[in-house]
Amino acid sequence: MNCATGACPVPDEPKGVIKLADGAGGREMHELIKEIGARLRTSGWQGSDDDAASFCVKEGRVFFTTDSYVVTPLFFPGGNIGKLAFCGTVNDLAVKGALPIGLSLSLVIEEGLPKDEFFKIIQTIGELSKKHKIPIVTGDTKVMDKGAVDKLVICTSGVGTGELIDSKVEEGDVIVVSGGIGEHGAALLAKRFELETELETDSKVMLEEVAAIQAYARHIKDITRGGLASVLCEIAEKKGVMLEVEEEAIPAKKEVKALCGMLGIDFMNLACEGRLVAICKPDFDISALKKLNPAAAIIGKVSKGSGVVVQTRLGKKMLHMPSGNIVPRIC
Amino acid sequence: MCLAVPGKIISIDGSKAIVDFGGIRRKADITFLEEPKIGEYVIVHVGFAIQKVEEEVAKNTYNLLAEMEDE
Amino acid sequence: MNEYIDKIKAIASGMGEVRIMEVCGGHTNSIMKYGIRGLLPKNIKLISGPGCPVCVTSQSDIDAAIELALNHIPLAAYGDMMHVPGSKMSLRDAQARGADIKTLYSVDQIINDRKRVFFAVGFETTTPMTAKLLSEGITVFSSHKLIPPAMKVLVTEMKIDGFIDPGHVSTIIGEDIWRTLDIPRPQVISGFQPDALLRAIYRLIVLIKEKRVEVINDYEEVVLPKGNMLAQALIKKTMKEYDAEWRGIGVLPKSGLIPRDPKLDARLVFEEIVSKAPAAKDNGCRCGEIVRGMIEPRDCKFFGKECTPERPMGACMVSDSEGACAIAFKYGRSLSE
Repeated sequence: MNCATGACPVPDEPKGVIKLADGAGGREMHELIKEIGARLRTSGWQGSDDDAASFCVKEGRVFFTTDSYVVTPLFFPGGNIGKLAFCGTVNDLAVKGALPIGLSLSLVIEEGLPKDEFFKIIQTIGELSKKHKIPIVTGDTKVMDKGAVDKLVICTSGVGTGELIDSKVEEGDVIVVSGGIGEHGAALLAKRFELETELETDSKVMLEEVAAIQAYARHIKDITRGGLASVLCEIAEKKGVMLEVEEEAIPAKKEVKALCGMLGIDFMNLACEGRLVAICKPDFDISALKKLNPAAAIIGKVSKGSGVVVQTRLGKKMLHMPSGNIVPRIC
Repeated sequence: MCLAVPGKIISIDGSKAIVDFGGIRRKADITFLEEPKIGEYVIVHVGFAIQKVEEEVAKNTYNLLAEMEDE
Repeated sequence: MNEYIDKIKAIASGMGEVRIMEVCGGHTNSIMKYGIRGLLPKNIKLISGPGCPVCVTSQSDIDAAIELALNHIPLAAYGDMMHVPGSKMSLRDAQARGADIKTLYSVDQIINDRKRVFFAVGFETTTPMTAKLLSEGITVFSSHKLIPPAMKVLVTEMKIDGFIDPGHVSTIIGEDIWRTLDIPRPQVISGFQPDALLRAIYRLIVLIKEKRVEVINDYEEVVLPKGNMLAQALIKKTMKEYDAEWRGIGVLPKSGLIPRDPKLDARLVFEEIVSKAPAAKDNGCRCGEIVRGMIEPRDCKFFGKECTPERPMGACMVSDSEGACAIAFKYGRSLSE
């Protein structure tokens, strides 16, 4: 992946693997941190190279979020763990109405991780950070014994400011998704079960999507691990309403549905990393969202009651919070 | 029991074939087919083709299975 | 909407309760996925049969497989099996304790992995793949079951007016064989699409109403009269029938298949380890009666309380695509049922 503008110097590919000494606090560690820093946009706050970074609080609301990222494999079609971490953290802020002003980045590395892989991941974070003008303002690096962690764990925090999007959800409100669902989960499953597809992760920063619906949105959720099913159940429960969804209105690529058919998995349970669900006022205008992603769609509406009801091509069914790991079934 | 889906044979190498399932490709074992040919449609269960089917049948089944009207 | 819904309503009116068993879990899944039960008249009862291989695998087989895994024998299993509770833990729990268990989509993922033992479950449709593994010299712990012996028992034990016969099992064993089996009820072999199922249900009700004990192949495009003879031949060559234990049903004569070659039968090769598996204990779970369609999930006092999909006490609560309890839990607050 190259720098978005082409202007940034790309450091030489580092050789070898990460060693325990790289995290021991001595010269090796300082060099590693320097190399990480060279790939990141770290400006914006004061004291980013010190024990804590600082910024001046303006009037208004401050948003704060934290998350950890683990994924096998670290690299997958369309992205890597670094992209997930950056986009995931930004999206958590964005869907609440915040504009992110800085992220932290903690890296827990398993000894033996090839340096070229490691720095590719850092490079990805750096490029995203520059592109979206969201600096990495503080961080930490630890190296663990082989076997103590699985290759790399990324922990982030994010701070943002803005107007909170969270109001009462009402009968007649519409349910919106920002694009085809399940591509991230499908791309990973395809890799795991040796299926050849063109599918790539849907991981992306969703600041524009939020901006496109902000005027109408009462509540927005980032769809992540549990897929659409999990997020819908959560909204229905938290907001004390019934969500009525038309199964055929839910956008998904035909490859995603084909993969689900093969593995016997419900596409509504597949993970997304760059899709949101929003509950919007009844007069919602989807055109701005469709410009960003033509697959964006209104998939249903809010009504009185509780739970999530799915109207299938034939009958109706209730949707429940998925549980356990997704495993392919034989039957 | 027995989730099985139709796909099209793209290539054959001995007892293995590459089968296309609506854009997803995977190798499938064709040990249990009599004279499989490229371009034929088959039903695949856990990585093994268990029956040939007519193209029309495969496409109908598939359209319903994946609800493939892709907007 | 589907034309057969109206046809079913018309023909069923005036009939008493009609009890139809869909033997196959794949059919149950389609029925649930498309809310088909809610579309049928009240007097048409669909009963889920024993067609979930996970659900009918005996506790002792699961315990034995877990014992192998805990004793450092690398194992492989289809994804469905991972969460099924044994006496003390599931395969997933064993994995968490460091056991090497590979989750498979297809056995071809382990065909070159000669040290790995395949924990094989499934009915006639899934057996040919295990036969292929055996022909390549891979060791198998087989819990394979045959559907017709179970149907023969069920038909004598409870009121079933007709069967929706399994579609892909029939792909392997063929259409004709159903007429030679001693199952004196109308039967329709069905495909898996909801529209196909509705048509099959309609045709079965017609047979029941007219008291015609016949077999209709309503999945002709995939089920041939003689089935898949290459698959049948390889199964015959590599496997033999045995008296298998079904969860909740007990031991049924000649209702399972195990490797012919004792050197590839993990039950024999690892007899010492397998025999150390904890004796299955009765935790009061009524899966057996549920598998047989004798009670409804709600009739079990543990349902939704001690026993949930997160903490299943029995196999029926595990497979959320096929297990009667898991399905009932998932669709518990359903609108139409």
